[in-house]
Amino acid sequence: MLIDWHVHINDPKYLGKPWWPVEVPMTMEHALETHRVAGLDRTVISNAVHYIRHMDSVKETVAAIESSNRHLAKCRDLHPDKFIPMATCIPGGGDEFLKELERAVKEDDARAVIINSSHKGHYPDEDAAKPFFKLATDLDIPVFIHPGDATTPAMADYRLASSVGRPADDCLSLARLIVRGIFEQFPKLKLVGSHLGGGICEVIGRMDYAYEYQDFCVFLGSYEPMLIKHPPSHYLKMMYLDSVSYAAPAAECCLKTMGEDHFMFGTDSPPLVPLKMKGLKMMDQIGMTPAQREKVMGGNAARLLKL
Amino acid sequence: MIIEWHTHVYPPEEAAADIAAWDGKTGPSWAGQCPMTIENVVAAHERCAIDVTVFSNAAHYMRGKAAADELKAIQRWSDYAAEIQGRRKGVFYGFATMLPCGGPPFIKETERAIRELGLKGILIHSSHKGHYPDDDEARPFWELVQDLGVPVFIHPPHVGFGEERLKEYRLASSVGRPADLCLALSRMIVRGILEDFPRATIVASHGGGGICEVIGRMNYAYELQEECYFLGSYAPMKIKHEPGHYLKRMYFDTVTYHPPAAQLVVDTVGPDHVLYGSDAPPLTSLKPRAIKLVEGLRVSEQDREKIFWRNAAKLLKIDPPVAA
Repeated sequence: MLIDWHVHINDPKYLGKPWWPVEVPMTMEHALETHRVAGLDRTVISNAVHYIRHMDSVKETVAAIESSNRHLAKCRDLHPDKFIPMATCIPGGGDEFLKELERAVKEDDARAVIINSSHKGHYPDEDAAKPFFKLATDLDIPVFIHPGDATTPAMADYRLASSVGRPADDCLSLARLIVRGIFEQFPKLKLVGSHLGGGICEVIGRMDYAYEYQDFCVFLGSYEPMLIKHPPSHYLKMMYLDSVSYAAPAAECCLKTMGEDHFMFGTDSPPLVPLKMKGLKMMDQIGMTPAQREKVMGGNAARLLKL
Repeated sequence: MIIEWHTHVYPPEEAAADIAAWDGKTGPSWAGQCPMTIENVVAAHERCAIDVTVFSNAAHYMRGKAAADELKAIQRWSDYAAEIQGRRKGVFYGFATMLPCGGPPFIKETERAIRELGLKGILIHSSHKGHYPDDDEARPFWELVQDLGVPVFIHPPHVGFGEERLKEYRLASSVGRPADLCLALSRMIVRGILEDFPRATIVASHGGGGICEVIGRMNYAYELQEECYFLGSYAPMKIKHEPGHYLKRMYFDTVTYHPPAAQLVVDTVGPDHVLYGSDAPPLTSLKPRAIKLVEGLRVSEQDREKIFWRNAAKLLKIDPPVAA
């Protein structure tokens, strides 16, 4: 089974201005076309709702998320043999967001939930997000962490907010979840990081020695209160990461770090419509055995999504 | 034969200063135990049977210095590094530390450190007080280093951006520093530093801080100029090739402490552009692990030799010892 874990369909209500500077190509039609071109069995569709950062009230934001959730469910209803929808949620947003997530899962049969690595400066390791992770584990759905928008002035030009800023925020978010003990609190949580974890497989060695050498590395700062019982890499391997990178050596690094049971094929296309086949062909260049390939290209996703 | 590319020394008074370890203003006190001393570098060198050690000064304290005191601190390090290098000729090589955006006095100091004092390279921070080495103010620096013909080693400061989220659990070191390095390298690429100064030899610490993971993103953001309109502008265009082309002109050290990450660097830029390093001291106890990491790389023995010392010897322009 060939499953693309990482495809975005934006709610048509919010495709252009003022929500995006330009109209974005994240449409059902593009998702259908790329699904066909790549010969996929299933496309997992999600909406990272970058536009909600322009909204102020809880009511407006929840309504926008509900609208998106319903739209993705509708896409699945129109193409039940192709699409698997994820719901969207803001982890620390409060009860209204959790109610909508529960509705989307129970009524719309959303099979996973996508959250942003940060939202308006809030990260999902915050205490306010605990009820969200409790709900996600109770519902037994995977949580897909995807970069929000964390642009700084130094990333403002040459598309670096996308190329560098988003992965960096993803990496920071995953790192914070690890050291703040998310897996100690929710050991059954199925956490999926996008874009190879945004670089966490490159810095995990640093995270490990910062933990292991508690006393010697005192100059790196405090590790109190200690919320974990194992080196960070132990928890990293409890996560899943997708392959979206368009760089085969990087994907291979991720595969070697995570193992084939915790690595999943994805393309981020749409929006990267012209890159669908490149993302698929990259998977032939990372030295997988047929058994590994079966898991990475769809088996792991099918298991998480209970297909 | 091993040339160690990445160890750190502070001048004795900075190492002894009972000040906050991160930037001279915040962080834990050294409490007399700063590991970045020449004595620790020599001991680790001998214990691990290193043949040649390059020592540099990451100078995290620069961030806490007033602008008026920066040049003096830089000059002090140049003099101290030259003194050590002179005492241990042919075995320990020192790098100057420089602020590329500092202006004429720092350009003059760069010339002094290399031409008069004979230091073998220059360490710069990936950012210093918000200034990145692709800023226009740094162009005279890049012009000069082309003429000097010494490697420029790019290393993170204590922390670059996102500090408010990096204060706990040593994340400033684990995540923030590599992220700032990655950003600096990516900015140097897209802003044309490697295009405009093709003879500059640039070495990135810590395997490039994650740039080998995001280079695919940088490449498609460049290649799909029109189709990726939604990612933003790429004007004014300052490069003639995809970012991966320029990445492969840089050199990277192996300081990752994670074998798949080091292998990623080798697979991305090739074994001719990778240098063994440990960052020990300060990570003194980890040096054997850093060596083992290179011993385990999936490369030919000839390429391993390049990573352990031949590439570094070429950049340092040193004759390999007879034993080689």
